[in-house]
Amino acid sequence: MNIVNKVTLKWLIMNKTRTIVTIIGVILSAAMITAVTTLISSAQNYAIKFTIAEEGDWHAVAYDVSSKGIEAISKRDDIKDAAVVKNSGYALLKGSINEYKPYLYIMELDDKAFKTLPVHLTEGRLPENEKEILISDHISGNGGVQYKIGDTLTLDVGDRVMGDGIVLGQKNTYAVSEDGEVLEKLVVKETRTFTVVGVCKRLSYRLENYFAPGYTILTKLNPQELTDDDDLDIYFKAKNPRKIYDIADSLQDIGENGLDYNSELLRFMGVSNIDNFNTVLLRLGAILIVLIMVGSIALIYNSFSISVSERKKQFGLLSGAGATSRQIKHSVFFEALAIAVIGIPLGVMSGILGIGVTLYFMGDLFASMITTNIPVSLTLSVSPLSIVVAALVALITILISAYIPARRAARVSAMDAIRQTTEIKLTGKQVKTSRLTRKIFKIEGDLGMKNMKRNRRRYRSTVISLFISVVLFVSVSAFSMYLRDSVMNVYENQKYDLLYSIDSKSLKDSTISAFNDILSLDSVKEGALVRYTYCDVKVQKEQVQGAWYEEKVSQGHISEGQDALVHVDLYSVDHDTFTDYVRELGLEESLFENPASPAGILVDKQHFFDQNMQKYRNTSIFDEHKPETLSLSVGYGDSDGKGNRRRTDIAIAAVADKAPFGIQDYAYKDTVLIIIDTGAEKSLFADIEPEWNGYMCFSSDKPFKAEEDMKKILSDAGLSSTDIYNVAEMLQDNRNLITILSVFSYGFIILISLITIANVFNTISTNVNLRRREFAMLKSVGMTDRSFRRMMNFECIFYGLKALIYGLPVSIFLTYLIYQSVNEGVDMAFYLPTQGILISIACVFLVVFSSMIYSMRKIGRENILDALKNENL
Amino acid sequence: MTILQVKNLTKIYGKGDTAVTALNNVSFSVEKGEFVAVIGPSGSGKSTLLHILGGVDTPTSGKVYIDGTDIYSLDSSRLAIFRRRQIGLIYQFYNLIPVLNVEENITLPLLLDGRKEDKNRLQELLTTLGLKERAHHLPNQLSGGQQQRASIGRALINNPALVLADEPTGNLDSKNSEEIISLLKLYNRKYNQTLIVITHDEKIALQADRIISIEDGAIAKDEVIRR
Repeated sequence: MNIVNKVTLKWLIMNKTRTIVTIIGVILSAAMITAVTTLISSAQNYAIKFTIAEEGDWHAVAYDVSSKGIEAISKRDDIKDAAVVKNSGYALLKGSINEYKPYLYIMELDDKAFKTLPVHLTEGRLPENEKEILISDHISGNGGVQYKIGDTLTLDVGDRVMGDGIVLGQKNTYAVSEDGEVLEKLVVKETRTFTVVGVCKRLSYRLENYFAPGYTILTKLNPQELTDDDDLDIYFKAKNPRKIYDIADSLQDIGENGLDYNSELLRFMGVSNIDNFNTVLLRLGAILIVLIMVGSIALIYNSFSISVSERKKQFGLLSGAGATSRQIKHSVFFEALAIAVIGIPLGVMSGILGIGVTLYFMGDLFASMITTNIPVSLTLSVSPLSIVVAALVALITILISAYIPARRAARVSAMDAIRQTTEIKLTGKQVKTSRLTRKIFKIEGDLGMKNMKRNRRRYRSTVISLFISVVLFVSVSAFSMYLRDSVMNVYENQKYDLLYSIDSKSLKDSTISAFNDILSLDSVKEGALVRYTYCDVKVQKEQVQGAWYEEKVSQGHISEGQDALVHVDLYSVDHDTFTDYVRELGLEESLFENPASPAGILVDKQHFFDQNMQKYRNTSIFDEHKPETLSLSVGYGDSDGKGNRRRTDIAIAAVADKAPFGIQDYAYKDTVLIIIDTGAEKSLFADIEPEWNGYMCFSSDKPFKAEEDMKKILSDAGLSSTDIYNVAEMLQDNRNLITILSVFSYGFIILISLITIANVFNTISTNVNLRRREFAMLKSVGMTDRSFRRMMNFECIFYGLKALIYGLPVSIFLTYLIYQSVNEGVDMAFYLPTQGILISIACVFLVVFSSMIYSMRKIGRENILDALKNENL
Repeated sequence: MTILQVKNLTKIYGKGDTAVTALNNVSFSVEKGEFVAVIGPSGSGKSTLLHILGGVDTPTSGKVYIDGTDIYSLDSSRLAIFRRRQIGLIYQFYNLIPVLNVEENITLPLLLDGRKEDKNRLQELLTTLGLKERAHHLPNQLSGGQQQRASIGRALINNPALVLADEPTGNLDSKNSEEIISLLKLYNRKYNQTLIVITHDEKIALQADRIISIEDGAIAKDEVIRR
């Protein structure tokens, strides 16, 4: 090692604290960069795993290949993992409640295919021979047919054939004409008997799309029994994924139905060119890395710059002894490398560890948000590339940081360095403070202020990094606050946790009894059976609010004096729910018991986004005097009796502010709600059957348990159970999303803030150190410890204030921008993230004060004398 | 009137084998208005003595009375206040506060005390020190001699009981050195200001009323030059 570098190393060891803090800064920055790169590689890996779980682990598929073709493909050197699937045809599914899906569809898979295709077993085991069968849970959930493990199925298997002899497959919907005539028939070829050995999840869209007419069941393929007539598909991988398109080209004619790619998987693997996902991911990563680099450079540059100005005399001595400016410049880079050698490996390791731990705790959260069907979690995946990139970026960061200080060091002439004359010259103007400062803060405050002004340059990076931290912290807390609120806002109006839509127009007894069964579940608290229909009512000008009427006139809907049209959402709820509602409003139940005059409750509140005003509005239509009766116009056609449109009068027994359980409190614009007891339907609609839509909804403490129970009751009642809408689940997913976003964004801020802290610490402690003699002097002219502390406190307060004075307005402005972007979708008031602001204020002062206290304590230990005598510190 | 009394002052740095005795049982006293020069070779202990007299270093044993006060019986805060009112310190490297201008540096002990400066006294001081034109300059805008004059001003502003100067001319050329010494002498004569100066310079020492020579931490000679 040459002497200049030796001196540099000794210097680093001598200034232990600063060296350690700088190394910590490098560790932090390398860790953050590594976190970003490993997160990217983990996300890519996740996407690949997810796609494999959803689509299968194959690159391309050739459809309808002969057994000779299969042999040819399997023998190729550039292909691996060829999996064979035989499409054996259809059998009728007896008792299917889905009229568009009347078949079972039999697929025979060889060993490889069970591994390659996305088969997710939920119960039992995979078939081991051609007599065993795996069924999908979709058969019971959607088809309403229950099979158990151990059941024996005897199936008449054949082809779906159209009148003109065309054979149909899973990609052809069930052929039914508009008036319900079935156009296809099943031509039975053989009878087969299977034993059910397991249940799996519904196959992916590619294998069984949403309109496929058959529920897929899987059995084991016996390779010995393959014939030339068999309809075989072969799924395969290329040994070198990048060659897959060339391989596929050469196989173009092997199948009768062409080739297809697992394009999603190829895209995530980076094979395919059209690669949105990776581009977005990389772009996002690049932005983050640049942000991190800016933050880190501020810190690392600062430490080198401090080091160089402190070493100036050393450089002078070295150059006096004959060191060239090149050697001196190199010594600064050597210092940078020495720090990098320790900092980067530690940083990369801690970054991997950090992301590993984070993903360990959050992976499941992430997986449950993406899908509840496929058990893939986001786990740590470290690629060599991600480490190399992280280490390189960190090294570049360090070298950029050292570049300017190194050049400055090289420019120092021997004499200047020894005399230390290149330090910035002060002018009176620079440190001028107002008389008021001295009046208010006394000499201590004035000195503090002057010191800050003197060290403006040195402190600039401190103030800037504090500023960045404050802005990031406040705006991220604002972002997550608004995000959380907007999610809550969307679901807030829904008082229920589970919703099940009733598809039939009339209310079937089975539905009512299922409703009652569900309501009696332990896991269900409250429930409502709700049906609704849309009607209109004409209202006179005197009945409604002037402003609303004027608006209708001005919009040209009516002319002055004409009756206006108000839409009515008529809700009919089950008797218990209605009675509860009436009691809650404090009304007499008898009001609603007169069959001759059916009565309802009016809810006159509208909440909607006004396109013209570009904002959300809350309105009401009727004036204070509630209408006695409203003449509803129900059905289609016009009110003169053409079509089936009829009028019916409803008495308005009360006007309420809120709707009963299960119904939103607000209607859309120009619409009111009328709530009736389901018992009132008969007298209200004596001569017309309105078009009812319906749903049942429930609240629950244990929505996931309740959902399971509900499914069972519904499928026992012969009703489809797949379309339960679980609000809790949606909320959970959204909360998960918020949690994930919060963890990553706060994690990011905390790390950036740590870099800031290191920076502040370095600057303040160096500054305090450089002023030792000055402090000693102040003490020697009789400054007491107390007023000395006062002076330093003022200095801290001024720094903190400065960062906040710039930081808070900018963050409030950013918060407003965030508010605006969120407000586009959801109506909410602007408010500040008070908590975030308070925390950031507290932290700024905490960081500044603790750095100061640490540094003061360190110099406090030494004698005033040593400082006084020491000419060059 | 005795303004300074030093009794059996001992200062030992370090412990055990590495212990160095900087001052060994030193006793002497100084009358008000006396100009004392302390001389001795490097490492003889003269700076240690001065700093202990100034209340910025603590003795291992022994006592220092200034104007009757046992200064090392005071707590650190009282000692600081005592220092700013009763002791003026002048250093070889001026030790001015870089962010304060000349006037502020001179009045610093008053400002720390929360007192208002006596305008006339300040003007007179500035005039005498030849800094009237420089009153609003920062230290780095002054020459070495000017800086040292400012630090003399700071030492004198409070009319302290004792002015202690540690090699006040050590960093100056001969012309500036003479000026500084004349100034100190002027104050010594005009205001009967007690003055203790550490110096290597025999010419300066010979201008004093009394010369104390220190060798190996002890007083080797204590001779009155005139009076």
